[in-house]
Amino acid sequence: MVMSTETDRKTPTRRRFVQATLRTAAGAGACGLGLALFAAQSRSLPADALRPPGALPEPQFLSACVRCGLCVRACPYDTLTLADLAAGPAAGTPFFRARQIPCEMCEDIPCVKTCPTGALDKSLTDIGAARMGVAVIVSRDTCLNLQGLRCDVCYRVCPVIDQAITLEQTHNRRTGKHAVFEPVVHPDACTGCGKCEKSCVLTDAAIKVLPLGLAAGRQDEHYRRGWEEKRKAGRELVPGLIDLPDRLPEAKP
Amino acid sequence: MTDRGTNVCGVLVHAVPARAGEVAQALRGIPGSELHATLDGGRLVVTLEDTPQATAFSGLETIHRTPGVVAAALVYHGFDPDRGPAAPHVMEA
Amino acid sequence: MSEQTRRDTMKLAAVAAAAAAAGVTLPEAAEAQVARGDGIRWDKGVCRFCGTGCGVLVGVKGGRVVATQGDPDAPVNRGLNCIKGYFLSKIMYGEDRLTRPLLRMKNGRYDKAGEFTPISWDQAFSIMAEKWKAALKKSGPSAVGMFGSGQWTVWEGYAAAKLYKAGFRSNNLDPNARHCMASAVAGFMRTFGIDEPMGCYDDLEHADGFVLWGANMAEMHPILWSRLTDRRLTHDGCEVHVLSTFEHRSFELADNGMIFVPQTDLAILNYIANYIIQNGAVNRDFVSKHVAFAHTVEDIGYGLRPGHPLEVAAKNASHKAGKDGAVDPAGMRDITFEQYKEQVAKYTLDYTAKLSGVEPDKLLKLAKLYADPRKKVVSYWTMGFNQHARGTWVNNLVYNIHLLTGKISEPGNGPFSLTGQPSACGTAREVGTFSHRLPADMVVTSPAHRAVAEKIWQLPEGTIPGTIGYHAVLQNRMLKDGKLNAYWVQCTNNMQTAPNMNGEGFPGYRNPDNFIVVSDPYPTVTALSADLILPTAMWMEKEGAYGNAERRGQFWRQQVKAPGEARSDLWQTIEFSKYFKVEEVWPEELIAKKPEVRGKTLYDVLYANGTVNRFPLDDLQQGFDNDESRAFGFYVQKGLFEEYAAFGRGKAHDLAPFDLYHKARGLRWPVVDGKETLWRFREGYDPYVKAGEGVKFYGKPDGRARVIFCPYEPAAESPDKEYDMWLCTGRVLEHWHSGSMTRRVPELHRSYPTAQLFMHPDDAMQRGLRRGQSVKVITRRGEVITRVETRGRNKMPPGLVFIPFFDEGQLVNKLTLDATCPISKETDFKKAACKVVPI
Repeated sequence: MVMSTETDRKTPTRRRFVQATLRTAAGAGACGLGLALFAAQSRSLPADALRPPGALPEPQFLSACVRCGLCVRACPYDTLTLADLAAGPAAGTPFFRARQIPCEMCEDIPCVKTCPTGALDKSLTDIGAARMGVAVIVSRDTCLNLQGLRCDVCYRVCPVIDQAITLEQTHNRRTGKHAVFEPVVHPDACTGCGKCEKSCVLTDAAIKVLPLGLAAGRQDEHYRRGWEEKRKAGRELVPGLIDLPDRLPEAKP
Repeated sequence: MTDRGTNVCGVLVHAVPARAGEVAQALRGIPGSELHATLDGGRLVVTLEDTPQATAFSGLETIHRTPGVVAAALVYHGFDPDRGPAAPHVMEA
Repeated sequence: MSEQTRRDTMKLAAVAAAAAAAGVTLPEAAEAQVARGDGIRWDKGVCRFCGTGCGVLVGVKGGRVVATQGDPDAPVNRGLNCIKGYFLSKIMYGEDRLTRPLLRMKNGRYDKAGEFTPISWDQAFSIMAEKWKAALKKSGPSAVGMFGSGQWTVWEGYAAAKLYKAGFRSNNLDPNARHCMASAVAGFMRTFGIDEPMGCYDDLEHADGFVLWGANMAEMHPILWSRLTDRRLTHDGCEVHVLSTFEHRSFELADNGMIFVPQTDLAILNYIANYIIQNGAVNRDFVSKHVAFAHTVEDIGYGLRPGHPLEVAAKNASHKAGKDGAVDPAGMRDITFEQYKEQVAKYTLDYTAKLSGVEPDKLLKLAKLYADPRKKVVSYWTMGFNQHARGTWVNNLVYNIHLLTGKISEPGNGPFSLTGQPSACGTAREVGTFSHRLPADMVVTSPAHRAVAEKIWQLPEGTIPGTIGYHAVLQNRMLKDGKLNAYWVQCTNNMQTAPNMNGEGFPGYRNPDNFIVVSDPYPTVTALSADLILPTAMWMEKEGAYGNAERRGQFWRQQVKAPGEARSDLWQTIEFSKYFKVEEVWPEELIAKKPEVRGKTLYDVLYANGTVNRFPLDDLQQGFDNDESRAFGFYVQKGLFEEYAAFGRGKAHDLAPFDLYHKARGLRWPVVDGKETLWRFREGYDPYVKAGEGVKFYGKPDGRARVIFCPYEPAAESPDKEYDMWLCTGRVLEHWHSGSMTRRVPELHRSYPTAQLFMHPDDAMQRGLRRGQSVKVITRRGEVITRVETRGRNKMPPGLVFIPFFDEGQLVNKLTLDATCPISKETDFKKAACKVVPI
C-alpha cells in the first residue's frame, strides 16, 4: 500500500549500469579523432538535457570533460547520467533530465568537488549560484495557476522560493472576486535545478528547465525600468523636483 | 409509441415567412412535437417524439400537410430502445 | 443513465442537428454537441477536501467519474479549484481500493494475531455483533464506542449518533473534528451560546483588514486565500496581518507579518484588548447593549492523564473538579468592565513584545487596525488556535477584541473560524456527533435536551445517557486501559493522526481485550491496525451532504457505484443495527416504558420508525443510483435528513427542505422563508433578530455575548536542555490530512512525495546537519527519521521545527504529546519539545 518514495532507490543494478557506461566511455575516448568525425554528423544529447552545476559553457565543457564519470558516482540522488554513444560528441558526458530526477542542490556540491578537470567549475561553492538552466513557463494555456486555480506546486517546491519563482498576483476578471497567482521565474536567481519541472502535476509539464543558451532573456542596456532603479537607489534619481497643488472645489459646509 | 422503444426526430421546418407564426401555432396541436426555435426566413426547429396517440413519423406527415409549410426536413432520428425505469440495483448483504 | 436523462439528451441532439441544418447554433444545442461529443454526464457536487466547500461539477461516463471541473457558477469558487480539487476525479481509483471485508483470522477463525482474510458482510457484522454484545454484557454501554468524522455526510453522522446515543445508550461517540474544531466549538458556546460563525465568505469582499491567527490560508484554504488576495489587490488601504510561529506562504502577502513564541498568542490578544481600552477605542454603545464580562477559571492543566505531573500540579485540572476546592475548568464568573480592564492592564506593549518576541511596532500596528473605527476587520484562524492547550481561551480572546470594538456580525467585520474538514460544521457540529452533544447545539448533560431528542426519536424517557462519553484522546486511553473494548472507526485515519501514537493509540488498538473495526476505502495505517476492515464507498459513490465553514449545506447525488462489495458508512451503520434486538441492549425498565419495542431490532426502533422510512423510493433522484435506499426500501437520506432537521427548525438552525438542496448550489442556514442568512445576530440579516433590536446575541439567555478574560499560561511542554526545540506539525497544500486519498494520486504524490523537517539553517549548522541529510527527530514519546530542509516554502525561526503529517512513511504522531485544551479536549499538535540528531 505504501507508495514508493523517491529517496531510497539506489540499487546495485544501477551501480552496474554506471560502471558499464564508464567502460564504454573510456573505450570511446580511445577512438579519438575518428569518433569525433562520426559524431559531427550524428545525433546529440536529449533536447532537455541539463549539465551538472558549475559546468563550463558547452563548447569548453565538451573539451574539458574527460568522461570519467566521477561526478555521476558522487551524486547522492542518482540525478546525473552519462550520455551514451548515440549522443555523438557528447558521449560519456554527464547530464540530467529534470522531469526524471532533478538536481537536489547539495550544499557541498559533491559533483563539482570530485571533478578532476575543472569541466565543473571549482569556483562554484555556493549551490545557489549554480546556473544549470533556467525554468520557463512553456505553456501558459495549460498552467493551472494562470487559469486561476491554486496549484503553485512549482513555486512551493522551489528551493529558492520567492527569489527564483515568485507569484505575481492579479485580479481574476472572470470570477470577479479571486486573484490569479502567476508563477514568474526570475532567471537571475533560478539555478535550473528542475524541481519545478519534476513536480508539475500536469501530464506534460507546463514549466520546463531549458539550457541557458535557449532560454535566458536579457534586459537591454539602453532602457532601464524607472521603478526598479528608484527602488535600488532608495530615492528619486533626480531629487528635489516639485509638484504644485491642484485647485480643487472647496468642501461645502 | 412502440412496445420496445421510442423514436426521437429532429425536424427543420420551412414555412412561408409571413405564415411562420401560424405554423408555429399549428405545431402545438401535433402530439409529441416541441418547437425549440423560430429562425429568420420562416425556419422552425422542431422535435417529434412517439406518444401514445401518434408516432413521430405520423407527426412528420402532419407537419407536411400543415398549411403554410413549404418543406419539413428530417435531419435527425434517434431510437431509444429501453422503456421503463432504470433497472434497480439490489444490494446483497 | 435513466430513461428521462437519455431521452432529454437525445432530444437535445435532435435540436442540435436541426439547428445545424439551418446553419445556426442554439445555446441548448451547443450543450448537446458537447454532451454528444464525449458522452459525459455532468452533475453538481462538492469538493471532497477542506472546509472551504468549493462547488464542483462531476463528469461520469461508463459508470466512472472521468472528469471534474470547478462549478463556474458556484459562489464560493466560481469555477476554480486548488490542486487537490483538480485531481478529484482520481481519488476514488487508487489501485489498492478495498473491495471486501477483511478479518484477522487464523485457522479459519478470528484471531487478533491473524492475517487479514476476506469474509462476507454477514460474517463481518456477525462477529462485530458478537463482540459488541460481549462488551455490553461485561461492562455496559461505556465499553462500546465509535470514532467518526467531519468527512462523514450529514446523514452518516446522524445515523451513527442515533445508533450510539439511543441504540447502544453510549455517548462514546466522537468525531475527528475533535482534533480540528472542538476549541472553536467551545469558544463559540462560551462566548455566544450558539455554535458556528456569524459571518460568511462574503466578508472577504467587504473588509479593510484581515488578520490571520494561526492560519496558513495560502496553503490550507487556497481558494479563499485567492479571494482575500484579490481584496488586498483591488481595495485601497486593505491590510493583511499574519501571525504564526514560523514564516509560511501567507506571509508573502502580509503587510505585517509576525512570528511569535509559541503560546504567547494568549498575551498578544490580551494586549490588543488592553490597547483598545487604553486608547478609548471601546465601542461603548455596543458594549453596554450587547456584552457582559466574565473571568475564566485559571490553572486548568493540560488534559493529560490524571497522574501526569502537570495535572497533579494544576489547581483546577479536569479530573479534580468538585474536589478540594477545585472547580470545573470550563467555568467562569461574572465580572464588571472595570475588573476586566484591570486584568488586561498587565498586558502592556512592552511586556507582550518581550514575552512574544514580536517587535513592538508590529504589535502596535496590529492593535491599531483593530482599534480604528473606520477599518472593517475580519480575523481568521484555524489549527494554530484550535490545536492549542488553551484553544478555547484563544477563541474567546479573539471574540473579546471584536466585541469590545463592535466589529462583528456585519459585512466585512467579524471573527471567522475556518474549518479544516468538508463537513466539520455540517456533520460533526450541527448533527452533534461529539461525546457531549446532541443535534442543534444541545448537550447530553441537559435533561431538557435529552427529552427533546427522545421525543423526536420516539424513544422512552431515559434512553439517552446523561453522562459525557469518551472524547477522541480519551478513547485511545480507554482502549489502552481495556475499558473500551468494542470500537468502530469510520471515515478517518486516526492511528496516523491522533497524538502520541506509540504511547496511547497503537497499544490501545492492539490490546487483546479489544475488537477494533475500521471502515475505509483504502488500507490506511488505521485500517491495518484494526481487527476487521470494512470496505467503504466514498464521495460520489453515495448520495451525500456536506456543510462548509460558512454554514452552507451542499448536496450531491450518487454518481457511480462503489467497487466490489464496498458499501457506504451509512449502509454499514444502519445494516449493523439489524443485528441487535432491543432486549440485548436496553435494560428491562427502559423497555417497560415502551413495551411495543419488545422483540424489535435497533433497526426497527431507530430507522424503520415511521419517520426515517416515510419517503418512498419514488422520491429518489431520478436517473441516479441510491444504493442504500434500494437496499432498505425507502429514501434513507431524505428520511434521516428530515428527522434531523426537525431539531433545528425554529431554533435558529433552520435547514431548508431536503429537495431544495438538490436544486441549489448550497444554502446557508438558518434558511427561513426561503432565504439564506449571511450575517447572524444582526437585524435585517438574521430572521431571529427582531425589528428594533439591532444586534442580539440570542444564543445567551440575556442576549449578551461574553467578553471573557483568560490569562497567559505556558504550554504543556516547552524546549529544555535535552529536548531543545519546539516541534510543530501540520498540513501542506498538496495533501489532504493523512494523505490516504491524495497520496494515491500519482501527480500529487510526485509533487510532494515525502515529508521533510523544516529547520532554520543556523540550527542545522549548529547540529552539523546539511540540507537533505537524514536525521532523527526525537521526543520523549518516540522518534521519526526524516530529511532536513532548510530552504523552501517554510522559513523557520531558530529553535522551532515543522514536519507535515501527511506521510505515512514518517508517522509524526509518534512524536506529539497528547496534551489537550482541558475545556475543548482538542489536542495541541503545534507544541512539543524535540531534539534533532544526525543518523
